[in-house]
Amino acid sequence: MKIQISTAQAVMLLVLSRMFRTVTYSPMFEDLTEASAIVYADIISIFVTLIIILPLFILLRNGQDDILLESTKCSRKLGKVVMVYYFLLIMLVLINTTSRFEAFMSNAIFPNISSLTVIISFLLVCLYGAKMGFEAISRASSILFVIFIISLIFIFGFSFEKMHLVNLKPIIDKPISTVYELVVHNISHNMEFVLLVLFLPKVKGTFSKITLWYIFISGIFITLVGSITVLILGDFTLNQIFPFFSIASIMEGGTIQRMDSIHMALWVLISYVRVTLCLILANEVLRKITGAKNKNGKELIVIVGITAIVSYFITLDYDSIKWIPNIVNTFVPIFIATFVIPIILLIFRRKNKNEIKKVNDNN
Amino acid sequence: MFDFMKKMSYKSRILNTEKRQDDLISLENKLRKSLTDNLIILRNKCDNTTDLNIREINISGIDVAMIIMEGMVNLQVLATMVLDKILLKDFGDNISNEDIYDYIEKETLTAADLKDSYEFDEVFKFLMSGFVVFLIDGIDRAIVMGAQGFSFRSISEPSSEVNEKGSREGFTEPLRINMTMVRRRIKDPRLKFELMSVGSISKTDICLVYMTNAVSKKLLREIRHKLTQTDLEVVLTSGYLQPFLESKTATLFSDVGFTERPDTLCAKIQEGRVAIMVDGTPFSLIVPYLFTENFQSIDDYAHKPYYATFIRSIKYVSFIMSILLPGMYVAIGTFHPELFPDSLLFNIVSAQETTPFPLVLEALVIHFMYEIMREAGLRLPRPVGHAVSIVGALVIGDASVTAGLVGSPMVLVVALTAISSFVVPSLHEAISVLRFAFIVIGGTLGLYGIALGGAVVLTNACALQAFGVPYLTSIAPFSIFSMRDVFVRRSFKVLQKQTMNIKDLNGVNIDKGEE
Repeated sequence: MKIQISTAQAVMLLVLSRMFRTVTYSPMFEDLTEASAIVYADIISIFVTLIIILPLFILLRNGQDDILLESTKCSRKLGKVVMVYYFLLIMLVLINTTSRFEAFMSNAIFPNISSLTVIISFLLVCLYGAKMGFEAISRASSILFVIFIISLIFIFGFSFEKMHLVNLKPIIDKPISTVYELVVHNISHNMEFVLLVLFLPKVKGTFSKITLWYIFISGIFITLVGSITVLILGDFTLNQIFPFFSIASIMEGGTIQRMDSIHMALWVLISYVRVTLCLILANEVLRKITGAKNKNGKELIVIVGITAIVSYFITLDYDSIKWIPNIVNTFVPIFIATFVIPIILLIFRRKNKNEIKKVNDNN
Repeated sequence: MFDFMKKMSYKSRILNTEKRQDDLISLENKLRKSLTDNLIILRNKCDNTTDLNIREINISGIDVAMIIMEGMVNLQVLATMVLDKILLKDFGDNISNEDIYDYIEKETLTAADLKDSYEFDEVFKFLMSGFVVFLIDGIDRAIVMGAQGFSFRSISEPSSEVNEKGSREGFTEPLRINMTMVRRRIKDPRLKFELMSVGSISKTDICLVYMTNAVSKKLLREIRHKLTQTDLEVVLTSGYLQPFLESKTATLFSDVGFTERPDTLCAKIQEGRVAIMVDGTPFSLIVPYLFTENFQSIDDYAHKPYYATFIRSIKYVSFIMSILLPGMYVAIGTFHPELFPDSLLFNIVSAQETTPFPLVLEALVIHFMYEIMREAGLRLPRPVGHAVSIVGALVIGDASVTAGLVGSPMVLVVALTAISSFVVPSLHEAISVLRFAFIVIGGTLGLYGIALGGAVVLTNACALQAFGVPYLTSIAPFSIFSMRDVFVRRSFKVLQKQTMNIKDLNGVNIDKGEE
């Protein structure tokens, strides 16, 4: 049976996945001087993202929604290269998310917990989620999405008094370059387009519809989270490891004194959605690359194993293995996935069309 | 080519042999013309069981045998409707075997269930179901007549689905009586009962109940197929069939529902579901069954909508509490005490100071004790069961706090959890196991573990899908249409506008590929 999820479910899945990066955003490691730049960059990123994915729009507008199939049709070699590239990219996202999640847990929640415990317990649960399948995780994400909105409303409501508009200052020092860097940073972490391109054949909806809704909703949430953070913390945002989590810590909600742990639980679920989705897609792409026919889940176990090992080594020494986050931060991977590959495929498609036309004319 | 021909010839030989064997079995199973032979075979097949009652009569020189299973037949009906008429009738001398057969069949028996039977197996099946069988010498067929008269529990209030304002009638054990209870409530020709038999030894009668206008044909076909695949020897309760109808995903939840109430069953089949009634049990199965249905009761429709909505919200909260409260308490108390307000934290800490065990162990022990007491109370006779509850609540609970084994907040948490779990009784199996799991996870990994456990449970429930119907449908996939009767219960003015059918819900693909 072909799995099919609705457009709404796909959008919620992507937004939740995107939110992982937003709630665990850590400006401490960036060379930022003005916290307000985060808010401006969030807004500008929405429009720039629309431009970046234009080739994908053109490529997928005719309902040819399987980019891997499309690339294999163009050329078998190109198909393999595209598959391998997407697989590596998902693995990159997987490892980056898992190591970041571990950093979040061991820095903000349990300072004394062993990295291995966090990584193994987390990945085992994600492995179970991946085994349950794409439909299950998309349904689960639609429930979590509602809880996430409620949590945002809570944070917004309880911290409203602490927000100060004066914290939203104009950027004085190198405004354009500061915002530009943040925009690039934002877009380079918007890996959800890569995920969408891969699971698009399973969605009852067009690429354009899902993308527009995703950009719109995620844009609102990212801007909201960024604004709340900056309006409350001001320039202190730059000194916090996880500023949004700090807001949850200083919130006072009546009987319950602090809400950070409750929000932490929700953020664990968001990370779970992202990693599970990546596992499912990585497994599918790997199966296509290897041509595996048996669904015994061996590939999935291999992917989880690699993710666990690499993530663990990253957590041992962040500085020595900075190359993984650095690759993502360069903007190159997402640019190739959403711009270069679609353009190559469009050129091939055009070429094939011309050849067919020529043959028809000769006949 | 030669090999192929050889293989074909071998295959056809095997097929012929199998066919001959089948024919022989079939011939052996056929009733004979000689009454003596038939009775010998019957007795042999039953191994001369004590309750097989054979009464031989001679009518105008022709031997007739009346066969019943002791205690299964209404003897008064049998005497007045059949025996009196046969024994008092003067047949004369020139009567043939066929004349007697026709007389018994057409003139004496006025029972509704009447048919001819040609095989021993069929005769046995009818005998075991309380039918009377007439065999006549020289005729190789039998008359079977329904005159069931076995004793059974009378119709009473369902004990597992007590309600406030609805009907007090619950299903009882005999299938036919349960069928009449449904028929009395839906006087529509589109209500259909479909009898089947399961269990190679028990040959238990089961009955599919559905509305022909509402049910999906594909769903029916799949249910029939799954039921015929049940390779069971004995089917004693509907629970035997449940695993064959459930989805393949390993889960603590069940996508097959139970009901003891004819009114609930009628409401469900009206929505396009199929009910399966099993002879010998008052519990009928309902397929497919959704998660949200665990929170609905027939009383919701007797109360005013606002009150029904209020009760439903209480049920949802109770369900979450009954699973998560002890685990959360342990997790917060052990890893995140900063979440408690100062005064509450002080009370909890001072209670903990007096106990020697860690919070997680305390929770596990007291919940384990609670489960023992619940099980004991359930299995024991009612008066003794009450005594167990008193001993459990007053003696063990109070004494353990006084003795300093358990903190008093923990007793409160257990009491609250236990009462919450009674609010949704249909989910008590899942609740009991998950509660323990969350205590262990909460005690080892804190709220992080609870979140991970929650993710597993949520994904598992989301993955469930029986007969193309997602278990969590209405919530995920979200269905605005069915929301009128999920978290809120709208008034009948709204509900009557369009009847809900399970196959029309969002994300349901029962009829996918069906023309």
